[in-house]
Amino acid sequence: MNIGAPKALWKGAGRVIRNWRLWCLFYFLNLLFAAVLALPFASVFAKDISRSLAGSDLLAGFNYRWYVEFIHANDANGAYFESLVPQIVVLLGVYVLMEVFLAGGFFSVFAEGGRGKVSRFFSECASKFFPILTITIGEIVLLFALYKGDAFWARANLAAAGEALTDAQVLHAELWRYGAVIAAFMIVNLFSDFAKAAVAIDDDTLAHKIWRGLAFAMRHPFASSGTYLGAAIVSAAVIALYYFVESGMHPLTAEGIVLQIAAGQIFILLRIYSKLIFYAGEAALYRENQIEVINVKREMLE
Amino acid sequence: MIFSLAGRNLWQQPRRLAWWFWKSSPVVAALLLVSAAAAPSQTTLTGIANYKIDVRLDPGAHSTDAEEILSWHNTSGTAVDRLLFHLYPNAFKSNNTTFMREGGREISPAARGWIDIIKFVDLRTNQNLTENIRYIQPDDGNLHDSTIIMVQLKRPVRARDSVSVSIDFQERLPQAVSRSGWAPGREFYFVSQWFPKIGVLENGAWNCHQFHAFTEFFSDFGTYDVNITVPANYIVGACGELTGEPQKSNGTVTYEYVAHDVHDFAWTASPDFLSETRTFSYEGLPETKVVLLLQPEHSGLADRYFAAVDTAIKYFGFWYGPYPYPVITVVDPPRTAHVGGMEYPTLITAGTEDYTLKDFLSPEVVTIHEFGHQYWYAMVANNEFEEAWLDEGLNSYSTGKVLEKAYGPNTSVFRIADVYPVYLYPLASFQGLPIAPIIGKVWIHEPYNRLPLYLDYDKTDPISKYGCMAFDRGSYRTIAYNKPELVLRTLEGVLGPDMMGDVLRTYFEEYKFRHPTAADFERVCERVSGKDLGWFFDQFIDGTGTVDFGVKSIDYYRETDLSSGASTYVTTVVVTRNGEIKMPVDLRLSLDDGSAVDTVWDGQSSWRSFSFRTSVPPDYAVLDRSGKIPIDMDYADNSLRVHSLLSPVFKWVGKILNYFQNVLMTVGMLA
Repeated sequence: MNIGAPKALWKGAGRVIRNWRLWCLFYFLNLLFAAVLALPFASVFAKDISRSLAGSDLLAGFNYRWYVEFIHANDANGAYFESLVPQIVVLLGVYVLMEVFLAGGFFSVFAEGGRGKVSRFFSECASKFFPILTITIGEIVLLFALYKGDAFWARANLAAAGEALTDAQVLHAELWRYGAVIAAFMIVNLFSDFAKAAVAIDDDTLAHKIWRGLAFAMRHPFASSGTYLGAAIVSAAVIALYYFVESGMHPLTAEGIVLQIAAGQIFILLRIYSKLIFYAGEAALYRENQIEVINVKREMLE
Repeated sequence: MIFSLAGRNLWQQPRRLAWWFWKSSPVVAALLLVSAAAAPSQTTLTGIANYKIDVRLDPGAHSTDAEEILSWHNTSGTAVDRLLFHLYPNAFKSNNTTFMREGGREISPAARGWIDIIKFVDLRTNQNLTENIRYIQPDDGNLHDSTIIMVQLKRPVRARDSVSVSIDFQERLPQAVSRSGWAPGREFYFVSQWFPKIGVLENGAWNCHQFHAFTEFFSDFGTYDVNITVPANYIVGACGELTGEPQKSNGTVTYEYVAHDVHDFAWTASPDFLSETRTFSYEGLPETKVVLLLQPEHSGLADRYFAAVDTAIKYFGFWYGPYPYPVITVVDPPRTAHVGGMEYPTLITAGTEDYTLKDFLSPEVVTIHEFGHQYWYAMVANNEFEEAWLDEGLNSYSTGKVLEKAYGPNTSVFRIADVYPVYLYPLASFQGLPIAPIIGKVWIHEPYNRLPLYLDYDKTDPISKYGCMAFDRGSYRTIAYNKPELVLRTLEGVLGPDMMGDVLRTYFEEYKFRHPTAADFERVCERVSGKDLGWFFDQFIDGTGTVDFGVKSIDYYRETDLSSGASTYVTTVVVTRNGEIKMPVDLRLSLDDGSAVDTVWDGQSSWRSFSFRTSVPPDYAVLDRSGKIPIDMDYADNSLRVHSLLSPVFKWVGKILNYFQNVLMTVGMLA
């Protein structure tokens, strides 16, 4: 029996909880990469303020004067921050590859529904890596083309027309434009997700699996987009909640600072959880509804 | 004593009388001007260049045609056989003008503007001198630049004599560029730097610069009587006061504006303006009519504009001297006009966006700054080509003080949304509009909003360099606005706020309606404060040295008196001067019990060691604790604790870590 988006999301949420070890694994990998990225910044930061009264200002809030001079000293003069850019780009690239690697394992384990074994998870990661990488590269190329096409269109049309518009008209035009671009990005991302799910769950040639995933999303437009948007709303809600909470936190004591750091880490855990709901919800939806289709076809053949 | 153009002050009467006569007889007026100039109270330079202009706007052709009568008085002791005029609109004639080349700009043929002299007549002899007009390029020899003409007279203008000339001219207005022209998509005209304008004769020589990309203007005071004819449905705003009833004829209407004791005249016309007039009134200050010409889409900002103007009139009036003109006109331009944030005598252009949040004081900052130019530019009229910092710097300083007084220390905010989403996708802005939601804000205290640009250009040009010869636009802005504000705040730290107020009040009083130089300002500073400030001006105005004091080390040990058992802590603080500028700086040793020991380091040597004996252990040493030297380039090294304070480090390292975790999560959305 086919399931809808709410049930897929519900099942997905449960499957993530059951596989909490994978959730933690994702979190630790994220923390590790972030720590490597933050280390050079944190070290110059600590050196600059640990014995300065600027530290007291920063404890209480923010000091724009210090910030401007700090950035200038490390960027313009020594070009220290600029020298870090290649390392940052490489690390970000490696991180994306790592997530591509993990995606196959997540889809496979979450599609099965139970608590997946770590060994099976990694074997699925390895076996699905190249197919999912292929889809990811295709997605990135498509998104880049959309981005460039939009910029070209905006230059050709909106920039010229903008001269004749009032501020409000420009703003509205821009909002529509961005809305359209974001919608296009999401559609590409949605189809890409189901192609990845098909690649991870089905057994067939790569081209057939991709086609099956795309066809699935088209055959179940409401369920697939509902699952995707539902997970997106959960993510957006998590982000909004965190910024609401964080904007009210101005700790001055050690306990308060620990609480603030803990809140930040809980937020990242929730972001990861909501990301895994994408995988799990889509995997559940694909698995349940695709099996139904296959069963019906089998019955018809018999 | 209050000086007012409303005739409340007797010493001004001879000039007003001269003006009345000049309208009917330029010769009689010239005689009266000469006699007025000889009066003991006439130390000002008013009444030198008087203009009577009739101008008609043709919106269909984006053009004007006009007749100008100029009466110019030779105040020098020598005869003059040639007149020099600015033809500013010719800066927009091609891509090869000095203005375009310096600014690295290009202007399309349809957007170009220019001015043509049709006829030039010396009214003393009725001789047509049109053939005697020559384009000259005294600054750079660029033959493509036609922003200055020299007219050879057949009869010289004798010392202390006057000449009247008649000039017929036509102007094609440019598509709005550099605060002049027509706005695309709107029926809006801002007409500035638009008429043949005589240069300034200084010490027997003409000071008449070409139109440069970065700097502004310089001209003599006089009276302007301008008749402006526009289509009947147009609303007009202009320098000076509207006099008489508008004259309607054949679908057009003619307005007459008269402005006394000003050195420029600009006007604007549009059928779309929402016009509102209120009166500023405050005990101890003269009433001022405030005219606001607002774009319909900005109608909700009227109260903010009026409040900002009132604030400016009040504080500038009390601090430096009452605003002497009877009117101030504020023009709110449409977005596509590119004329926002500009000053003319008694008329300023403001500027804002449709969605200006309450926290963002952009309408207030621009309005107060441009009003401030009525003092530092319109009345105290330094040469903006050469010493732009005298008006822009003093005005930036004064604007900051007014903003602090009226709106508190949080006068502007750092919009995080402007900074990083733009690298991900152009979400931040489009044509200056805030598209992205503002996801965070950080308050900036005056004058630290001036720091980023100054830090980028600290060594490029000294403030004393001619603005029109600055390395590039960023350097010009640094030496005209940013560094001068920081320097003047530092001067305030040296003199004290009250003394700084006295200095500026005296400078305004002595140099209003005159053309002061930086040397004049320095003389006033020294005379009023009674201090030798040569060291300050030599280093900060003429040099590119920087200020950077730091605490290098702090060490202490305990001495115990064996007989009494009392402990004494001996602390050694080593301070360093890392920048080139030498100046005194306060040093404070703060102790564990909250008490402090203060001393002053003269800052002359590259380092110095200070020793303190106290009964309480030291906590930290700090230089310039009260922030008297905001131009110091490294705030963090101004202080040093005995022991590290790690809580802010943990707090912000936690934030940095969290930031990168979020970046990774966002980048991971690709997978």
